[in-house]
Amino acid sequence: MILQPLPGDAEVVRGLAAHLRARAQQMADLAGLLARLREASTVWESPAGVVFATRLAGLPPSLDLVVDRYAVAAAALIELAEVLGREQPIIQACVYEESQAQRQILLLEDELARLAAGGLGRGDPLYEVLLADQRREVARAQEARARHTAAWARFTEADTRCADRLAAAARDRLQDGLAYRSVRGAAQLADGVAALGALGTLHPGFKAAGVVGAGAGGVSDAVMLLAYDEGSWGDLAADVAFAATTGTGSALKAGSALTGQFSRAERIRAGVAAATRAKVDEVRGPLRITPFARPGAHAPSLPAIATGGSFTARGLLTKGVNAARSGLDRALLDDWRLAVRNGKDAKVHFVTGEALLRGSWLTQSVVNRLGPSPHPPVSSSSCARSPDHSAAPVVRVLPAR
Amino acid sequence: MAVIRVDASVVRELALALADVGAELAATGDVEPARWALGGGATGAALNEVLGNWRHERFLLVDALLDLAEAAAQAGTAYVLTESVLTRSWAGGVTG
Repeated sequence: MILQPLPGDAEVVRGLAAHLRARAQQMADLAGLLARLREASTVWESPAGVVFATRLAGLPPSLDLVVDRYAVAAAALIELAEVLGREQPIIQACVYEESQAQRQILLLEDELARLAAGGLGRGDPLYEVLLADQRREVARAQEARARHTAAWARFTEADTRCADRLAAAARDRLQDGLAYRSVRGAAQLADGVAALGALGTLHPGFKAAGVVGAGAGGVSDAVMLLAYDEGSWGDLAADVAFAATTGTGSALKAGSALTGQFSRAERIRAGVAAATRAKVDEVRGPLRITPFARPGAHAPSLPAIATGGSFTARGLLTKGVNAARSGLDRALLDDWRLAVRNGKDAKVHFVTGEALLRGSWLTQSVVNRLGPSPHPPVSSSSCARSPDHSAAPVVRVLPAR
Repeated sequence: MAVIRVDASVVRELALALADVGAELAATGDVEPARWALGGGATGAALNEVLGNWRHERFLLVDALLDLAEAAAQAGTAYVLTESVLTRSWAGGVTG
């Protein structure tokens, strides 16, 4: 029997632990800052500060729990990496040693058989030497197996300890509710559309979601999107549109009936990933502030504001307000460009799909872009901005002469 | 009640920190790709659980953090504009 090598890479585990520890520290710093801002003695004297304070009060108290989880996971993984790094070479050496011994045992077995066939046996000096050699190799193999077993047990103990610590950390208030986990579990199982009947009893929209999902990227995406606003309406709309152009038009029709059950507010809450990208860009864009002082002036240092276009106070102030909408616009444009590649019919279906899934106000923005040019004009501030912000012109606010 | 002054750079850093953490959390997935490196024992599944059994809570948190980042971005922009106007007036230029 060949001994089993121990898989894994201690360096990768250490890297994972370091990543988690760094993220824990980053989030702990942020949580500390937010806690200080929450203190009653802190007041921001501006309307924007009031808005911020209001939203801050609505922040779920889960950041501290996330910090704890990451910190515990990092510590547990570091300990595991230590043991893995120590025991894996021992186990590897045992695997080699045992395989070598087994090979020698077989060779000696053949040789002894050959001598026996020639009439030699116990008591013959050559036969006895080979027999002793074989016993030595058997002992060598046994010792390798014993060391392998011991090292494996030490790793298993560390692995169990690590898993227990992680499991304990996972049992906190952060854990998703049973209902969510059940729906998600069922939704994932339903990717073969087999469990649609059961899902339909949970929520009236799920059965229709299954039809959309069947023509698109899977039932689980559609279900999670409907039930918990997770995922991207943009992706689903494009998938539905393409499914419609390839003969499964019922998916589009089902999408129409389905989206009627949900409010516009629910529909415009676009996918987490797309919204995240858009918002991060929006936050980064207008706030690229670098110190600037006018030569010779005795005025305090002035900020320089880098923007992607011309500087106007109104434009800057409305950027944040429009972030979510322009993010949607951008996601829409990406999907639109995909649809354009699929020909005229795809354009029509795409717009129809958008109308069904997003609501009329967004559809209008698509319709406005239906022109002779294969590339729709880009009007939102986020779309107009160069992806490379460092290349954007810098507009400096100078003191008036 | 004490009143503290928060300048533009602080608010800007806050907005970026919020956005960074939000983006980081949004990008957190399961650990399947790294699971092989953990030794093939029980740790892989347990790590997946500790990093993944709060998916819904994570999305809510990301949403809230990005809302806050947006609010901080607006606040930062307002501060920049206010400081600019004030500084212009100090420099003897625009007075309003």
